[in-house]
Amino acid sequence: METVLQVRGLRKRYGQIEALKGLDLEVQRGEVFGFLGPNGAGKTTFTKCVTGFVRPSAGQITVLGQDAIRHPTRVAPHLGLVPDQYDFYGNLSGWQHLDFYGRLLSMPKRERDARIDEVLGIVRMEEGAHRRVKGYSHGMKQRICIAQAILHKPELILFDEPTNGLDPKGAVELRDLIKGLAKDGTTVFLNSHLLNEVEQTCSRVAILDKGRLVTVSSVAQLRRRSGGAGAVVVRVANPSAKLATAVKTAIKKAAKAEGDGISFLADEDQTAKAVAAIVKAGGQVTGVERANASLESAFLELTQGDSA
Amino acid sequence: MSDFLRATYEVARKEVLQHIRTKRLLIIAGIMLFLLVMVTLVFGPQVTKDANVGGGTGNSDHPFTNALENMVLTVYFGVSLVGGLQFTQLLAIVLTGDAVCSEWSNRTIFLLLSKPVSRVAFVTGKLLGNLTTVFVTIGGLFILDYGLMQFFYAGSPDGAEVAGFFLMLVFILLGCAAFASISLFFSTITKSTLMSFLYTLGVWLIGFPILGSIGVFTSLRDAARDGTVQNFYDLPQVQAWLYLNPVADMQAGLRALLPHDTGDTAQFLRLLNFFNGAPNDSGLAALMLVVYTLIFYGLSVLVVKRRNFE
Repeated sequence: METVLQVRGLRKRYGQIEALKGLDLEVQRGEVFGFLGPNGAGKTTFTKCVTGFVRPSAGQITVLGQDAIRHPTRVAPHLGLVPDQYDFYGNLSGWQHLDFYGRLLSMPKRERDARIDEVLGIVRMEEGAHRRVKGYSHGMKQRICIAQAILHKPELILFDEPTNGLDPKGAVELRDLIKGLAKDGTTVFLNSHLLNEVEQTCSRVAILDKGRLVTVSSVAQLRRRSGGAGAVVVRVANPSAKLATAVKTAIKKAAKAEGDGISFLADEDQTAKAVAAIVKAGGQVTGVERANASLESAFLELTQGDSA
Repeated sequence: MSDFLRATYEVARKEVLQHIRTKRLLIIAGIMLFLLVMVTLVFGPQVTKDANVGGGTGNSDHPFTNALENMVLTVYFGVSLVGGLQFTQLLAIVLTGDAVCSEWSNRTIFLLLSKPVSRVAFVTGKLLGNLTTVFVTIGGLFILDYGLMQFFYAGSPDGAEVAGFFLMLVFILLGCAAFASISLFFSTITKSTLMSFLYTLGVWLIGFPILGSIGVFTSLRDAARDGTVQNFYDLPQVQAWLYLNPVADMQAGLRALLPHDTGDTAQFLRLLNFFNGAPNDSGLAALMLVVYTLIFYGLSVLVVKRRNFE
């Protein structure tokens, strides 16, 4: 297998805060690689380091054998990007944007025109393509953004929260598109907080927490890792940190008070013990919700309950 | 074409395309055209009438004597008097003042820089695109107005006069390049369009005039101490500081309009600017405008190359 993206000892420091703490990662050709982590874990910083927007404090990033930190313009022709935050020039049309990006990618006119029509078809934006972008909905912009990312048939595409703004049908189409790209040998790096989306699309997953990679493994392995444990929320009338501590003591696992519930990961026996501990500590239990073992369970366990 | 040149060209082309499709350029160019036409049709004949009262071409007491030898020239001095030069500077500042910061704050920069565009090509393309827009707008408007004047006043300019007009236009465009470069720089050091404009306006309206006037201030101090009165603007220490003000450097270009520079010119130019007048050496003034353009372009490149676009 050919390594498309290789990261070694990647660090990024902002003053006293270390956003990335020595990341090591390899992504192989044709993989759909999921990148998960709670808010503030450093996912977007990582993406911005790969694309050259942010200069790392230390480490190496190699894309298809090219040094992405020193030579981002050599890497760019092989890279497609759907950023988390972006916008277009409001007074240009979607078509003009794709033409502009195609020109920057040195695509000859005939090939460019044909490919623009093709990608507009793929993202179902043929109709609005000649209207100014300032009249577009967020979903339409997202479609044009995806179109520009696949315009030059890059070998690696980075998607950062790509289903944001898409309606459910659009989200399903995007997932199908990602699977289709992978079938054609394109490598996809999917940065998402939607565990369900990652679970359905990705073959391997990395989980980032507080700037550190806590695991890199296949989705199947991660599911197995959670054992029988599922995410549990015990609803109580009087939530408090004291009740969360009681659960921690009872089942020796992380637990926290959130809203009107105490949440933790546990199998059925542990759930019973935890509920008993809550009642003993004075909690007035109003309900118990328990999800089956899933990627979410593993994620919560590895990130100690932080939300994605 | 090299990758750098191609990227620069495409960024510049996009910049021009955007300007063409915005109302900002139309509004500013429209106001400028209106001013020029008004000056041509209204202010020009008025100045001429005043001059005729003083004897037309031969009254040496009138400060505009030489200027009034030709009505077309006169009208162009009129343009300067109503702030034509300042308007060209404003156009350059307004068009370029948000060149980089708006890309960043609007987050359009992320898609642009994800393509094979180096940061140097990005800044260079931005500057060239804005300069093209400014040059075409200002050059077009001035040439159009010059043609209008020939039509309305049935002038028959000789070669030297036409050359003088175009030389003056070159000065104006060099000045615009300097101001575009200065505003580009301020658009790289902040993410806020408002702050970028405020910095540029501050430097334009306060910083440069003060810098250019340092020689005047020190000479005034010396004169007050010594009790002597002299023509400050001819003093070398005053002249040296004047070159540091690009507004004054642009005004030096007005000399090109006068085929007979007999000394009234300098007096006339001083009337245009209460604080510092214009430097005597037009060639050096032109060079200073080029130097300003290059220095601020270089600084913009340095800032953008080191910038983390979060």
